[in-house]
Amino acid sequence: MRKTLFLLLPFAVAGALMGALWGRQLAEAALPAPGSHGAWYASRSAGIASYLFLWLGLAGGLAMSSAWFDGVVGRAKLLAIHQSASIAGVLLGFAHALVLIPDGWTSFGVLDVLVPFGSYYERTGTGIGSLSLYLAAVVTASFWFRRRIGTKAWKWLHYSSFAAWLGGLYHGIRLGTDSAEPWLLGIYFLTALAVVFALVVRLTYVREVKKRPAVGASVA
Amino acid sequence: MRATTTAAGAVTTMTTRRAAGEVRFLATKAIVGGVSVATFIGLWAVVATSGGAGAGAAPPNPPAGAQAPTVVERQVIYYVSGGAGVDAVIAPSAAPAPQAKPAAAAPPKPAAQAAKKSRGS
Repeated sequence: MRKTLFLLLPFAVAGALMGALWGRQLAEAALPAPGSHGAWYASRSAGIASYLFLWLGLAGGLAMSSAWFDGVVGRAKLLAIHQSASIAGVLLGFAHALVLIPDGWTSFGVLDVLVPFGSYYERTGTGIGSLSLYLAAVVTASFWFRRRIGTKAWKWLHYSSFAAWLGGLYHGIRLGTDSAEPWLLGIYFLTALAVVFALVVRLTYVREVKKRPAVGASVA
Repeated sequence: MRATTTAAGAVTTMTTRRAAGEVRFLATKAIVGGVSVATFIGLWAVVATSGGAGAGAAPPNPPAGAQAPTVVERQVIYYVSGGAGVDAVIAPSAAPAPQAKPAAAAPPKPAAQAAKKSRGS
C-alpha cells in the first residue's frame, strides 16, 4: 500500500504543478467568460455534479452488494467507484455551498449555508439539502470507521444514504435554478429510475452467503 | 527444498498480484476523481451558456447594488373615443360631439343559459 502511494506521489505532485502552471489558461480556454457570476455558475454546476456523484456512490454500493453484476464488473472496481464517487459527491456538495459565501451576486453567509434551516432563502429546502450533505459526509466517513463502530451500526448508517440521496434530489428539484431544464429533469428521472432498479435487483438477487464449516466438523 | 522454492514463488506471485490489484484499485479511484472534476467543469460550461436566457437564472435575493438594470418596455396605449379621433382625445372641448351613440353590444350569454334555451325550443 505504501509502495503504491509512493508510486502515485510523483504523479500527484506533477499534476499539482501542471495545474498551478497551466490550469488557469486551460480553464479560461475551456470555459465561457464567467463575468461577475462565476461563483454562481460554479455553485450550480457543483450542486448538480454533487448529486450525480452521490447517486453514483449509492448505485455502486447497491450493485456491489447484489449478485446482479457478478462476473460483469469486479467487486474491487465497484468498491473503488463506490468509495471515490461518494467522496467526490461530498466534496462537490461542500463546494456547492461554500462557494456562495464569498460570492457577491447572492447574499448567503456562513450560517445560511452551513447551519441546517438557518438560511434566509427557502429555509426548508436549503435545510434538507444541508442535512443530506452532512448525512452523506457521515456515511462516507464511515468507510474508515467500520471496525470501530461495528458492522451492524455501519450497515444501518449505510442504509441512511438513501435518505441523503432523496434529500439531495428534493433539494435539487425544489430549489435548483436549472431544474426546469429538460436535460436536468431527464437526469433526475433516469437516476431515480436507476436507484429503484438497483434496489429491486439488490433485494431480489441476493448473493449466497458462504457458510464456513464449524471448527472440528468432519468433512464427509 | 523444491517445495520451499515453490511456496516462495507462490508468495512472490501473490504479492505481485496484490500490488497490481492495489494499483488498479487506486487507478480506478483516480479516474473517478478526474471524471468528477471534468463533470464539474463541463456542467459549469453548460450552466453558463444555457443559464443566461432562462427566467430562473437570476440568483435568489441578489443584493440591491448587484441587480441588473430593469428594461422598461414602451407600450402603445390606444384610446377608444367613439370615432371622435385623436383630436378629441387630445383636446376634448375642441372636437365635435358625436352625433349618435353606437348601439351597445349585448353581453354574451353564458353557455349554460344558451344551452337551456336551445333545449327548450
